[in-house]
Amino acid sequence: MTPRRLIRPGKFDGGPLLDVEDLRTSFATPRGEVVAVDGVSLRLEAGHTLGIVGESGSGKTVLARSILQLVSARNATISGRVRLQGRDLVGLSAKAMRSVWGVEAAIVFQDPMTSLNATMRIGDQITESLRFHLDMSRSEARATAIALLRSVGIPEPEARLRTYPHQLSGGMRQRVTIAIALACGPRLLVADEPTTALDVTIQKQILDLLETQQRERAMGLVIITHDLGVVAGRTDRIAVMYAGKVVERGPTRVLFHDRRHPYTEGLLRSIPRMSNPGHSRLQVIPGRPPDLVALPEACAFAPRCRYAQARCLEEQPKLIDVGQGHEHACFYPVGSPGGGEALGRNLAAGENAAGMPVTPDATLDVTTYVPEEEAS
Amino acid sequence: MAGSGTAALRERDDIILRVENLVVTFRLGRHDRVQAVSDVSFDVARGETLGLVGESGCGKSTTAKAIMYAPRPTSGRVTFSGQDLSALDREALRKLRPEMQMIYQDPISSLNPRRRVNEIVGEGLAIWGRKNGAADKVADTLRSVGIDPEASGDRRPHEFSGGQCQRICIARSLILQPSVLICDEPVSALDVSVQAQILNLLEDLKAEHGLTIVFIAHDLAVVRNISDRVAVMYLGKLCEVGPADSLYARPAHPYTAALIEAVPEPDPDIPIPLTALAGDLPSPLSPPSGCRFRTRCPRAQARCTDEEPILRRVTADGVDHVVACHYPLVDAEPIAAPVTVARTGTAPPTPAAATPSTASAAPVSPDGATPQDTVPPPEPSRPSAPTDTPGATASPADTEP
Repeated sequence: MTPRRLIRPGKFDGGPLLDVEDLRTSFATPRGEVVAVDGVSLRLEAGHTLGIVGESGSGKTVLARSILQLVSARNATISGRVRLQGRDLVGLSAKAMRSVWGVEAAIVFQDPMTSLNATMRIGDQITESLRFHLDMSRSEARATAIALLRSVGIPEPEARLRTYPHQLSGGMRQRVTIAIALACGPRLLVADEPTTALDVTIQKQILDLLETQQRERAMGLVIITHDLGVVAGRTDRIAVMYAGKVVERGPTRVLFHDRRHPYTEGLLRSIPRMSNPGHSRLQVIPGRPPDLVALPEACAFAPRCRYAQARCLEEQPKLIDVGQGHEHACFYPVGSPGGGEALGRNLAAGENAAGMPVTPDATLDVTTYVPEEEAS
Repeated sequence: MAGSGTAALRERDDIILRVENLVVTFRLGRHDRVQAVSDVSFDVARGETLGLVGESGCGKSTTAKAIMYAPRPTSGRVTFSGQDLSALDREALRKLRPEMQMIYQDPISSLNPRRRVNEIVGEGLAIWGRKNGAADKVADTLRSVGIDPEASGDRRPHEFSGGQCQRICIARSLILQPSVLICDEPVSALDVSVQAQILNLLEDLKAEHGLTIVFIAHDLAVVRNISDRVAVMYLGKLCEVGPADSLYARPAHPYTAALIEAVPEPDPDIPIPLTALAGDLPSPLSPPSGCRFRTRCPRAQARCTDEEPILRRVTADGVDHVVACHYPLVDAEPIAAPVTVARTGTAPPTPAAATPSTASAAPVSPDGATPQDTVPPPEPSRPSAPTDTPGATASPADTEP
């Protein structure tokens, strides 16, 4: 690799740092087309933090990778637009993306052991991008790497440069991946479940670290997680994903206090909280997420939804704005008169439009599982 | 965090499981040894749920396996329903096994992928020759965990999601009607919505079958929800044991407090605490002298380096915990305490010393009858934050970012 001078893109002003428009990522499989990300639009201003929340299989990781053009599977198709500082990344070649990765946008993955190179010393892994992108000399790069390691809270950084990933603990490894991601001063940092593999105490350290770094560098930060606790106090806005789509999004506070989508409501209510008395029953979302192959033109959450009506099974709800930048995709939103009536009807009937039992006590898990293949 | 001593043991008639001075040592190479569990004592009453929490590497899972005698602990005693397991021979132990069942963290890999659900769940019955009505029993058990036996019985594990596999694991462990269920991180691999289903299911089954549960997890909110009593572990030792409600409301051990503080609350209006527990778990190969938590403890003093704190009881308004700390957060007159070693300060760090006999004899009488002066209340444990004893505080290595 020949080192190159970094070409900073022309001064970028106006518009959001990241503007994702109608992004769609699908994979051709023998079973049919799996649409992992289905028409997602997002915006993120510099210096802000966006949380993306969803269960496993909701498409959040594919979304993160699609934003950075890191979906390399041959059976994948990406369409839509991902504008980073005004430049559309969709369709750029890996060669062209080289000047974006690490420099304009970087990513931190869930498992630091697999995202670090096990056969390379920590120091070489950090200086690699410094030498390549910023054309630093060996000693310059080394000094910068030491400063970086210190800034992410690694003790004795000089000594650590010569260690291999397996010699570090999980928390330390994640700090190293963050140092690598920050090395060339990216404008956008995407953190995909950065703390899922870590203990609570270490999780807090890493989240605090991301927050400080984001503030100091005025980066845009995207935190992807399944844990609403992780994003509650640390994000400006949150988008909730279900079956490849954003079903609700809004400013963090609004989303927590005035959630409208029954899925968001279910997620929030199913979390065990420290403030609850012991042995309190948790509310349950019955069933499980849908198979992403050949989803019908309907609300994907309807089969598990206490509010679902006939309309939900025939028509796909679109995101609608309810003010304060708060949007949801539901015909019978929680807390609205329509939603109240819908729930009332389902309670009276004892089931929702899809035939899922609905009882007054949402903590009862009334469904008995029938494997999906059974239905077809 | 020493946490040696048997102060956590209670004297009650309904104790079903009693673990005394449990030690598990693993060999590492030719000379090294790791003490994964180091002198841990606790008990569980019939129908109770004991939560065991701690960071990874603290010995929670090893403790669980040692209770089951799978493998046999290096030393210590496990008493189940009055029977000392160490006194049993192989066959007697085998006969006892159906009474204690275990559920593991990863439900998918703990099910044999080549077997059908009916075989997996019914295997225990087949082994014990309980063939009468076995098929009905399998169907009933599956139904009780929310799996439809007609549709699912002939399927293999890969056809089910993680949550459903965990239900199958639970069915498999319940079919022999155990009295104790040991759950090793049963919901950590599951999504929140599914986690709620499984937690509710465990509570239902517990009520229905009168189960006693030992619930191991690193998620403190989950443990809070399901447990009656909670034991906090650190680096192979117990730090604090107490009733769940009061332990979470008034933690006495600095480590318990730090753990609780680190849990992210799903509420944007609750400010995130500024302090974070610095550093990582030290290597269990060479644990710190004295209190094992001292390298990360904000309250550590010179004494913590020299002297291992022994579990003792602290009681103050509403708090009644057993804690291993020289300077607990709950300012209470320690009622009965592990005597002798205390005052001297220079006592060599003799782990597990402190004459377990005295320690166990004294603390069980909670009525404050014991003379108060056995251990003086820790020098009015004012939260002496920036200590004047350098070197005793958090090691400089643990720089905070």
